[in-house]
Order: sequence, then structure tokens, then C-alpha cells
Amino acid sequence: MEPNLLEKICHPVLIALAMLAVSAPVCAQLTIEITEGVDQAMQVAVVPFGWQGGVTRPPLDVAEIIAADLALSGRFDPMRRADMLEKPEDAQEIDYEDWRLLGIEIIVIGQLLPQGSDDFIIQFEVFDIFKQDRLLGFRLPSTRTGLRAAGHRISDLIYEKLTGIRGAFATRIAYITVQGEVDDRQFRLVVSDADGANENVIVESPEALLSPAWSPDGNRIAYVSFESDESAVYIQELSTGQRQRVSARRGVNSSPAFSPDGKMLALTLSRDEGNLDIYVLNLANQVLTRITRNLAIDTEATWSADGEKIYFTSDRSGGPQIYQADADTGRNKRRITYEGGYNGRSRLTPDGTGMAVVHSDRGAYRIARVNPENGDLLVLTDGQLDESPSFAPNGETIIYATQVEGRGVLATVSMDGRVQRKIAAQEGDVREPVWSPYPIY
Amino acid sequence: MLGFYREYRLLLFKSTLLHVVLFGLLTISLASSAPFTPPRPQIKILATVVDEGRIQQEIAALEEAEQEKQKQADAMLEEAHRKRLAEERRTREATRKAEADKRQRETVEAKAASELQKLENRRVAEVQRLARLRKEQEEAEDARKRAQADADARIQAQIEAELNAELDLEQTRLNAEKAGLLDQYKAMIEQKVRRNWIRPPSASPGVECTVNINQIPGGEVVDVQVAECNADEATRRSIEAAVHKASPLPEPPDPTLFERKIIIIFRPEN
Repeated sequence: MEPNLLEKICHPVLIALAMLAVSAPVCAQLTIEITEGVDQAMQVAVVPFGWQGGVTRPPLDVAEIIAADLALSGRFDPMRRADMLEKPEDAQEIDYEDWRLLGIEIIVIGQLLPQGSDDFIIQFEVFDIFKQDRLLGFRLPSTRTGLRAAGHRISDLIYEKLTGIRGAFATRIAYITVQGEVDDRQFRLVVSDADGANENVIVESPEALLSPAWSPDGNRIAYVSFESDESAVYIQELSTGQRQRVSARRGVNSSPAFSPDGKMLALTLSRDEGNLDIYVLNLANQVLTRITRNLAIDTEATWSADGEKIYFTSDRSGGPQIYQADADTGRNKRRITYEGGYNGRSRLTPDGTGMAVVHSDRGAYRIARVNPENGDLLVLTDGQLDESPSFAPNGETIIYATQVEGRGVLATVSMDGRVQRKIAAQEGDVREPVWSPYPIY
Repeated sequence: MLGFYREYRLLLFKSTLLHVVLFGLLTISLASSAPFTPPRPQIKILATVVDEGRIQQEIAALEEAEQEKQKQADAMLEEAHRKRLAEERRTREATRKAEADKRQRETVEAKAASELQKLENRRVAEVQRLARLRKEQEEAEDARKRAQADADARIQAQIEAELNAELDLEQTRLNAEKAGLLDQYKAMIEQKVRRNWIRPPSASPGVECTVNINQIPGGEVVDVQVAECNADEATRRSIEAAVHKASPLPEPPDPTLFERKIIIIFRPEN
């Protein structure tokens, strides 16, 4: 017995169900789960800052510095000025709907207020276009020469506000440049802002300069110089230019690395044996502690964040690989990397949870990220001769040297390998960039 | 008088005896059946009184006549006796007959009564039987009806069960379809918000933020409130911005699926 459709429709059960079906969604709410976002740059507008200095041009385009910093991080996509329909200088002038239609999420506005001939106040505000809410608002005093640094500092503040991570724009990098022909080469140790601007030559030498290393307070740099034909390790005060030769032992003196407390310097020495091993030099009393004793090459030491461990490159197993040892005695050695035939020049993230290495990847040398716990490895760059990775103090970005048309240039890559940027403007062959710690304000 | 007595002793005796007998008969007859009592004995008693006065004075003269008379009387008596006897016989016969009749009648009556009783009994029995029959019939009818009702109910239940099964199936399908569409709607919203969520580095696994959203028909987001959230300020802001940027939210594939209130749980994974 087949009930016809009408019976079906009029069936009380169906009616009840129909009522349920109609009424149920009324009291329900849609619940949606989101487990991922996009690795997209945030659309920001850094509006040129207002200038209250009359007819004279402002000494520095602070907004441009900020926009460039944010762009360099890879997390932001600053709007081109030509695309801006309006250039508000204070909050009342912001037409949120316009900016919203332009797809802008964050707007930065500000003013540069001269305070006498060489002093300024930078006033800036950050607004959320959707919430029409002020996220940040500061007044920063600055000297004329400090304007660039002030701009980086503003970038840091914005970056931290929007990403939850401390910005590293107001940091510096040190690197070696080589210029000239083989017989007339000029080596320079250069310190610049993290964006490559504001270069300052720290050391200049016709002989090789190698392996710059920052002290934890950012005030000193250790490096290797062949100025006396033999390698020697120096530590130089940045503010005064004064320097101290801390190791000029027989044979090789290279690869200096400050301990996190700044009291120790790890070194690679050959001494009389002619074989490279890792030592730790107590800078206060010059006591040298041997970390490795091995016929293989052990070099390129670096410290764990807590100063308990030293990581180094060794070819004791054949090809170069990363090893770990106790920093005070050299005991408890452990191999870290296993993937690939070449892993060298390790550096740890500031929190010690990550490591970057130069990794030989199918004949090319590339920067890879390594999990120091289990040796898991992820290649981040795609160059042919990438070298010398160094972490930004926030651990977000790695700076390294890469080859462009046979010349070494600086580049950065994010920890996930997603954002790669070249840092232009250096002359000559650029090598061995190292990122400074956070500045101490 | 004594002579008379002696003379007529036998006669007297006989007469007395007759009287007694007649009286007895009468009595019996009367006792047995009142309607059948004969009227004669009263005549005899009068005759006796007359005879006694004459006997004292005229014995001789009257001897002859008396004898004759006696003869006649004897004859009459005899005749009467005979008649009486016949009568008695008849009476007896009648009585017997009456009795017989009575007995027969009684018998017949009894028989008839018996028959009647039997008939009555039979009638009663029949009535009872009929009543029983009717009751049985009724019961049978009831049972039949009950059975019918049961059967009907069973059939009805079966029909309903089949119908319900069909409806369930239909509803399940509808639900599934609707659920599918609902899932599709949710996926559309999820996708659009996800595409607009620039996940900050601090939004790491372990972060969980519930966002209450109000939309109006057309999908325009009119309110975004971050409710429970263990994330930092940057992540909260990024989530709110993601929802705002996703506005207008996609319209549902089925208009009935539209909901003003939407909850999005941001639970970043690696």
C-alpha cells in the first residue's frame, strides 16, 4: 500500500518535521571553525607625514622609512603613495570608508614637528580602518641624525602592535665588503641599519677581514683580521673605535663568537698542532678552555641561548655536520644534523629553539633551518652560493649573503622561507652579514 | 314394643344397617366428592317415624297388610336396595371413574404440567441457549471486531511504520541535503574569512578565539565581537579585521539557511 504524495505531505509526522525544520534554524547559530589563515602581506597605508617646518623640505621622509621597513619584513604591503586618494595628517581627516574600499586595513599618519634647528618631534598614529580605532599614538623626540633610527623605532612599534612580535628594524647588521682587483683589494667591516642604509665602515684593511661577531650588548664587534699576515681575533668598541687583539696564537685564529653573557669568546684555533679545534676564551682572565680535541676540522662555534652548549661544524664523520658540546668542558658531544652531505656555519635563534645552517642542496649551498632537537631540516633559500645565515634578534628573519651576477649581496629570508628580500645598495662583494642584538634604549 | 322390636328386629337391623351403610357411603361419597352426593337418605328417615306409630295398635290387622306391605316394602326396599346397590355401584363406578378420571386427569394434568414444565424448561433452555448463542455471537462479533480492529491497527501501524520509514528516509535525505547545503554555506563563510585572515606569527596552535558576528541579509557584517580568546592583541585584531574584510559574507545556497548570528572559532593549527 503506497500512500500518495498528498497523504505524505499531510502526514502529522511530516508536518511536525516540517515545523521542526522551519523552527530549528531560527534558534540555531552557525558555528564555523577556522584553523588557518593566509600568508599574505597586510595592506597598510603609511601616509607621508605632515611637515610643520614651513617652506624648507623635511630633513627625512620618515614615512618612507617606515613603509620600507614594513615592506622588508614581508608581512606588510604598503600602499604606493600615488594610489592614495587623500593624505590625512590627523585623525579627523581620515575617511575610513574610502580606505576600506581601497582595501587598506591599517593607516599610519603623522607629523614631523621641528623643535629648533636640529631637533624634532615625530608624532604618529596608527588606525584600524575597520574598527575606526586608534591602535597607537606616540610623540618621539629626535635629533636630525637620529630621525632614521626614530623611523625604524616607529616601524618596530607598528610591527609589534600588528604582529605580536617585537620588531627588529631599529637594529643593525655588520658585514664584510671586498672591493678592487686581486692585487688591490680593500676589505671593509661595515655596520649599517638593518635595512642596509646608514653604512659605517668600522675597519678597513688591504688584508682579509673575516667573521664579524656582535657582542650581546651590541656595543662591540669581534672579527678576524689578517692585517699582520697571520690571522688574529680583535674586539672593537663601536662607539670609540678602540680595539683589542684577543687571540693571535700560532696558526689559525678564527670564528669568534661571544657567549650570551659576553664574558666568553668561542674561537677556532689550530695552535701548534695545525689542526682546527674549538676553544673558549675567558675574556676577563684569558684562560683558554679546549672544547674539542679531534683530528678532524672543528670550527664555526656558536652558543646556545642559555650559554650551556656550543654548536660547531665538524667533518669528523666525513662531510661537515653540526655537533653540540657542553660549553664549559666540551663533553657530551652530539651530532645534530644528518640530512645532506654538508651542513655548516650554524646559528641559533635568540630563543634557542631554531637553527640556521648552510646546507649543500644538490650541489648548491643554501640556507636551511634545522630543529636542533631532532635535526629536521627545511631549506629556505634558492641561491647557488648562499652563506653565513644570521638571525634577527626577534628570530623572524635570517640575513645571509647570496651571489648575484658573481657578486655577493645581502638578502633576508623569513623563518618559513616565504619572504625573501635582497638588501641593495652595498658596493663590492658583500660577505658574512651578522645581525645585531636589540639596541638598548 | 319388644315384639315389634323382635319382629322387626331383623328389618330394623337391616334398615339400620342400610342406613349406616348408606350414611357411610354418603359420608364417604360426600367426603370423597361433594358434587356427587345423592338426595335420597332423607326420605327414608321420614318413613321410619310413620311406621313406628302404626305397629302398636294394629299389629294383627295390619299384619297382613303389613306383611304385604312388608313384602312390597321389602320388594321396594329390595328394589331400592338394588337400585341403591346399582346406584352405589354406579356411584362407586362413578366415583371410581371420577377417581380414575381424577387420577387420569391428575395424571394428565401432572403429565401436562410435567410436559409444560418440560416445555418451560425447554423454553428456558432455549431462551438460555439463544441468549448464550446471542452472547456467543456477540462475543464472537466482538472478538471478530477486536480481531478486525487489531488487524486494522496492525495494518495501520505497518502502514505508518512504512510511511514513517519512508518519511524518515525522505527527511534524512532532506536533512542531508540541507546539511550539505549548510556545510556548503559554512564552508563558503569559512573560506572567505580564512582568505582574509592574515594570521600573525603569535597565532600559534593552542590559541582559540571565539568571535560573535552579526550579519544582515546580504551578508554585511554589522558587528564583530571577540568573545573568549586566549590570544594576544595582534591576533585578536587580525581576527576582527579578517571578519570585517570578509564582509559582505557569502549568501547561503538556500535562503532558509541564512543566520543573523554566526560564531567563528579561530583555532590555528600548524
